[in-house]
Amino acid sequence: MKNRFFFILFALIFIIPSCEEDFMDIKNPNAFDATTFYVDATNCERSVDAIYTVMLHKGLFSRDWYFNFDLLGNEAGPLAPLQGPIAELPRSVYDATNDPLSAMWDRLYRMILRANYSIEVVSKWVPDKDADKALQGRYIGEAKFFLGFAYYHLASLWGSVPLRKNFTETAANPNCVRSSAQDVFAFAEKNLIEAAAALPDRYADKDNGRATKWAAKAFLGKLYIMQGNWTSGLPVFKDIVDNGGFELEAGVKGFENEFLAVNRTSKETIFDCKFAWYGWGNGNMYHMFDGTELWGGKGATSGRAMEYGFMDWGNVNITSSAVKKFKYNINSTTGYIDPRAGYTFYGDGGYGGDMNCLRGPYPFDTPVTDAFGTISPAGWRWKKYQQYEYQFSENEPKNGKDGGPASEISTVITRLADVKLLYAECQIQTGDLSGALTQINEVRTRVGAVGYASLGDKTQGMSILRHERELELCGEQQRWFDLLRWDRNGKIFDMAQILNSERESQGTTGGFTEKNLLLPIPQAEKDINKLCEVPNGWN
Amino acid sequence: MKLAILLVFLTVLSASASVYSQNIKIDLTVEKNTIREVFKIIESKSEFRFFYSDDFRDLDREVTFTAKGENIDEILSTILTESLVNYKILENNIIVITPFNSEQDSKVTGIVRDAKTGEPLAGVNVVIEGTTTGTLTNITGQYSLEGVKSGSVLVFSFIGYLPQKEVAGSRIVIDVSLAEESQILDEVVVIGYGTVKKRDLTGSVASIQTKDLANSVVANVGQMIQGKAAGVEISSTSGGTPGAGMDIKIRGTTTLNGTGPLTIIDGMPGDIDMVTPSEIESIDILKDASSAAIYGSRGANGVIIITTKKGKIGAPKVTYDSYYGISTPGKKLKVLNASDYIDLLFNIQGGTYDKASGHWTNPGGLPVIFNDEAHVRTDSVNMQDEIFRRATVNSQNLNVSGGTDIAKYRFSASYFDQGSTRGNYNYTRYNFKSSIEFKIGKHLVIGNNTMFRSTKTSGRDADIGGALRWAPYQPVFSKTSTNPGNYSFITNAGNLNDAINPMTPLAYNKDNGYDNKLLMQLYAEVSIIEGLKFHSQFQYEYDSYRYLNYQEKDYINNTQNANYLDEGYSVGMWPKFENYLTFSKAIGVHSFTLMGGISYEKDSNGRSISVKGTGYGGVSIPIKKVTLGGNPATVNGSGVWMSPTMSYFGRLNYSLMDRYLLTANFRADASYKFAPANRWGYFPSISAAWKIKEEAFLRDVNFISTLKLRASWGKAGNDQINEYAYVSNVYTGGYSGGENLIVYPFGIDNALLSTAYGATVNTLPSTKIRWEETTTRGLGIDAGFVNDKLNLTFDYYNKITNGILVPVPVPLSTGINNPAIKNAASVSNKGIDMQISYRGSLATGFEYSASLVAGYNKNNVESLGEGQPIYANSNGEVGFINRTEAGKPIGYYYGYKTDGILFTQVEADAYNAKYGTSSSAGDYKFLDVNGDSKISDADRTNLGNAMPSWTYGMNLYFSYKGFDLQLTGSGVFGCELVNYNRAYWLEGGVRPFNGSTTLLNRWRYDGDTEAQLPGVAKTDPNKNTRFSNRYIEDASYTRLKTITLGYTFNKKVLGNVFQSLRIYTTLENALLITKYTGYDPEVGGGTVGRGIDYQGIPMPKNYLFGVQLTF
Repeated sequence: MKNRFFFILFALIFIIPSCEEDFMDIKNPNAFDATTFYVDATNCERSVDAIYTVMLHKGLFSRDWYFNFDLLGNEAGPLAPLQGPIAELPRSVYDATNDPLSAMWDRLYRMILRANYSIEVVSKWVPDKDADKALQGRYIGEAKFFLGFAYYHLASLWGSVPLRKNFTETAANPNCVRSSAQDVFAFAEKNLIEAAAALPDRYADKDNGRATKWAAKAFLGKLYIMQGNWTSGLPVFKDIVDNGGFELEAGVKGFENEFLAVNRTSKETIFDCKFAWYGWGNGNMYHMFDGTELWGGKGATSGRAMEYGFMDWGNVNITSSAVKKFKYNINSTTGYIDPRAGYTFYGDGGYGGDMNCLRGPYPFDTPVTDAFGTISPAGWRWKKYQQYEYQFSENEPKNGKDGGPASEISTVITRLADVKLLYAECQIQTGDLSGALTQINEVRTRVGAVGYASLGDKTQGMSILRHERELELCGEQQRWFDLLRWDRNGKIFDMAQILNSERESQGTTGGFTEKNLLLPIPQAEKDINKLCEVPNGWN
Repeated sequence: MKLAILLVFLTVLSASASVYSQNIKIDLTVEKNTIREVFKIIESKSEFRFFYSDDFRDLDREVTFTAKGENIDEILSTILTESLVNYKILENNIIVITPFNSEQDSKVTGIVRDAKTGEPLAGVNVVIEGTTTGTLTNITGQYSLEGVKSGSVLVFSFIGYLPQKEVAGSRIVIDVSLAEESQILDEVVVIGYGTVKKRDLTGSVASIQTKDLANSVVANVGQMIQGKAAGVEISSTSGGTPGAGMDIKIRGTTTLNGTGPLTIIDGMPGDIDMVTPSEIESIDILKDASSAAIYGSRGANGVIIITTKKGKIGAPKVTYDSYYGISTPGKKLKVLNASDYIDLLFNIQGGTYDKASGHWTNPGGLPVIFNDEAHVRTDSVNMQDEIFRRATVNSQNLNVSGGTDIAKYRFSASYFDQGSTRGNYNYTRYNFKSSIEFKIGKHLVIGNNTMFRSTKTSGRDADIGGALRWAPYQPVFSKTSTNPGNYSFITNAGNLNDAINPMTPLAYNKDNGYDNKLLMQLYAEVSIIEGLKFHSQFQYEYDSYRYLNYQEKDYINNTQNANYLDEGYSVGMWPKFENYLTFSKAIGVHSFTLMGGISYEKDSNGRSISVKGTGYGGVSIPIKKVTLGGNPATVNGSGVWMSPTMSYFGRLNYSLMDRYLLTANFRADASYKFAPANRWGYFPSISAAWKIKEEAFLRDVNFISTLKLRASWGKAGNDQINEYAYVSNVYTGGYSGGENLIVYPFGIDNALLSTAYGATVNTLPSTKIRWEETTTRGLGIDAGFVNDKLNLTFDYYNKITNGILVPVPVPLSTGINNPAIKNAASVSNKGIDMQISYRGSLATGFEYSASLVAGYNKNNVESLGEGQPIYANSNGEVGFINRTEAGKPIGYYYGYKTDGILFTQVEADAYNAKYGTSSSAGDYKFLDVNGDSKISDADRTNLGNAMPSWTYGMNLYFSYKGFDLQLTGSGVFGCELVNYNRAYWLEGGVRPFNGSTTLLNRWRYDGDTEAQLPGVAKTDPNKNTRFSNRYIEDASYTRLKTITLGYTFNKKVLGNVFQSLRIYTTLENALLITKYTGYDPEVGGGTVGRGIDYQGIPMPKNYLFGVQLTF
């Protein structure tokens, strides 16, 4: 019997101790816990840096943004290799399922999420040093800049959209109704004003690329005039021009450099998206296909050079409508050819395009054989933002191959010339034609173009301004926003008429109708967000 | 704590005394019946069985008497008072009648054989009942026993066989044929922490015994079960890829997370593929919650219990089992030839159709290669012919087993090697296993099982997608190619088709995977007092995996990719400890078994890391270390996991008069995946059975041999979601929070040093999540007829799973790219399982058996908490495919319906006028499902789903004079698949990829009324490619899985060297009957996104030859 009690005791010894269950409480070994992570300047800054990274995502500047607005704004035209949903854009046959447009919506909201999250975690941080307190203010300012930036674009492009004002609310109510465009603009305005107050004029070199006070003001001004409020826009742009400390980089070389890899430190740039190639060991050149932060590793390049390049994927050309604007009548001169033509496109045809690149005359006298077999470039092709003339030089040996996707040229989002022309637009709209003439001529004379003698009346002035923006900012994704603004606010120019007639002259159908003034609300949003009502199915 | 109480309870109960059924009171009225007849009456009224010789004339004497509430002893002494015979009541209710004065000792000899094969059995225990006198049979099955009194009973017992009793009587030679434990109802079924006889089962358990499997050739356990258990749906996860796992669903899709069942190997959770098929003794599948609830936490999807083979008492027995064969590719798809492809390309690019020639014209502006039409219209290759190949299958098994009554052992080794019929992928597996068990004294049994498995995979499966869309004018090799090895390539810019040459990765990529897994089990079973047993088991599972992949040369089209070496390591360990007490007791007509225990797994954890080096220059990489690359080696990823578990469990089995049975289970489980407040889940169950056949009114109905009704109710749980979902995690890029990949290049130069690293959020913490609960109600009936030759099992079940953890997608506008996890859904599965089997034989020696299993299941989402449908398989080209919403099956297909083609522009104009569309001639008409005169996303509707209504299997077996023929088949019925290969790649018609020959029937010109597919163009303004019923196909199939023909040599031919020899040939995947046009309709995997056949792989046909040898 003794043995048996021994056995029972034995069983109890094994069973009872395991009643403790503390070992069930385990911390995630693969990630930090948000409630204990954002407790110093370094980690708080990380929440801000994550917002900037969204600019490198597909949908924004590493891919889609340039396609979307160059094709929608009829500055770029489709070539045979352009396929899939992108090819729907220039024909105005896109709808709510269009991926490049949906991706843009998605990533602007990703930017908003990260900005709201950053504001929440940085606000909870209790810094003990004064320097840290200043940083805390700056971080929140940077986050607010992006709230303004993203909502400005959302309201401009889609009008009435869901308005996510903070992270807690987003987390609690993932479904959300659409707010009026007016309310969205108002929220963006408030944030840009607060950002401008919190952000510095300049940064130290290591922080080059962060949003400054002036970047916030530039988008504040754009926000005002998108709503037809040139009166409010005027002092904002004036302030940037007079006090921002930006300079038009001198001469055509300055203009040219704005679209080469050296533009990273341009004095003209007000806000841009920086790119860098870290090599295959760190990232994937093709991260632009939605691999940023994922399989793309540390990918931070733009696909534009490869996608546009005539020696490369050659998806698009520059439209003949865009090219033909570079030859015009000015003052009493007829058939004047603008000097910017040679830095905007290859191929002359009488419009001043560049006829030389390192390969030789364009089109090449002797056909060039590249990896695909023989391609004879024909017609006009993009030069702005392409690096063919530099790719083969000692200055750009990085990839050693024609137009690899790893373009490190920063995408200029807004620069002084853009702001000066918007300033001029405000001046024209508020009756100051001579002030506008000064701004326009300063932009022109920088590249050595003839200045205008006069802008004429307000209507003529607007035509000159429009033309000037089409020349200076060709291929910079500004035209779609310009046309929207001019069409919406008193039909200064009829967007449908302009785009349809241009496309017809190019031999394609226009297809632009009233509904295209707003982009379609993405299908994926409608499918999931049951509060997002789109009665007409479009927007 | 609860357990301590249970222990005390058990201990108290154990104090009561032993009672045998001699005390059962019997009522009896006999009038002029012979004693013989009286015995029969007693037999019919009780469990007693009489043994006597027909020679006893005295038993023909007539007697008359009445007994009321008397026990057997009293009755017998009454009727046999004046008799010349004596009686003796033995244990187990056997009564032996012996003549007086015959109790003299004698020597008994004999031979013991297998009842079926007639082979002598060595090591059979022969004991005189009630004594310790006994012996073992020798190698030729013979025994000799002295001192046997006349009338005493010899008990013959042998593991795996039914024990048999023989009354010595006056015989001096007693030959015995032992039957295997094959009488179905006496089979023992493993139910988790114990066993029950199949006839005492109250829940729904499908049991597959080794003898049902012995002659089949299978590569893994999943294949063993496929088509053999009703209501168990098994599909291959990746066609015929060697070594690939199987997707197992028991009684439908219960949840949206982790639908796979729990696998128990010899008592503890383990990897189903750990055991090689030849080492499996039995597989028991717990299908309903009433039985699976004992494994509460992970039992909701059912439990598969694998019992491995152990040593048996007897001389060492060596078995060698080997087969070898050829694996040939299955089906190929029909694709366009070069000329038809060029027509398609011209058509897409805007060329015009020339009716006279039947060709399209070059629209101009295309890459120069298309200027030379004669060249590109010439066939060079069908890539499918290149990527498919013949391969071999090789399987070798060797085992030794034997034992004494103190120690039993079994050792086995096996080798398996199979090549893929696609590309150059190969799978090799080694298994080693040893089982040893010792009996120490009367009270203690200790044992050990050790299993080791080593697998190696090498090579790659070829890219089918690339092969299918490849431009057929381009050969595999091209002298002018700048790629290594002159592998040709095509590009978007040069060919308008960017398929990757599927042969180049095969030549330059070397992928290798090595997995070593060890499973050690130690167990002890202590008999404390009569009926009370303590079982303790410790298991240690250790897995080490590594891979080594390298790319010798860059190969992708024009793009320079560095060569690389990529290697990774992971280890995992799962120590588990389980203890339980079992107490069995019979009190009069009541008998019960109580079991209670605890299980925990404290330190299960694992780590992994992978490293990659690039830029090795032109050297050959294989033996180089990763840091020899030209660039700094990078860490691709690393991870850590921990998975503690803790559980209490208990069970009561109660039986009244061996007729009314009750089983109650309870389990409490803790999961670390939930916050402490929601951590514990409690899972009770109860089931009952009534053995109707035992009732008086059926006892004499001879053609019914078994009849039992079962009813059950129970709850089981599931927590198979991603861990740490309740915690607020910081996101730093990567798939699972690895290296920080959120970078932005601030600064004045573009060096990585100046890069900022971000940290943000990408999921919302789900703090309130808790256990999913599956409640099952079931009714079942088991029936056997004509001595159980014909058996029927029929089960009805109604399962509902509440609180299913679903990723509730959040709108794009939240900016969150991951859905939030919530207990937001409930799903029901209702269905029936049935099994019918028949075994028979003819006097000529012809034996046959047939069985059919079938399961019907209807899945329905009862509610989806927030009413938001869950979409899955979003795709840029075709949109969302699956949708899960209340009132429909999980993940049904949601899309448009087509309504024919607009053959003419006139038709198109009329259609446009009616629906406000802007379709053109050659476009699809889409159906206005909701009748609002618009074609919009509201017209998407239910187009079917991937879950079969019926799954079935059949097995036929014939044997005659050494020959045996076995056929196994399985299939599904009532399900659809999305043939996604057609959606964008083979029939999309938006990009000039090579496509299916069905494209020959596309719309060509205005008025082309022969068209069966819409016209093609690179823009698709009408969205003909959008997800619609055009891609949906009936995926019902019946597959004749194996045909095996074997021959077992006659013993006489073999002589003394071999005990048995069988040779056989098997044809695997012999026949597939289906309407499905893709490679193979058996597409496993997925829940909310199930049923999308991207590039399903055709199952290979295997021609195998084998030999089974025992000596």
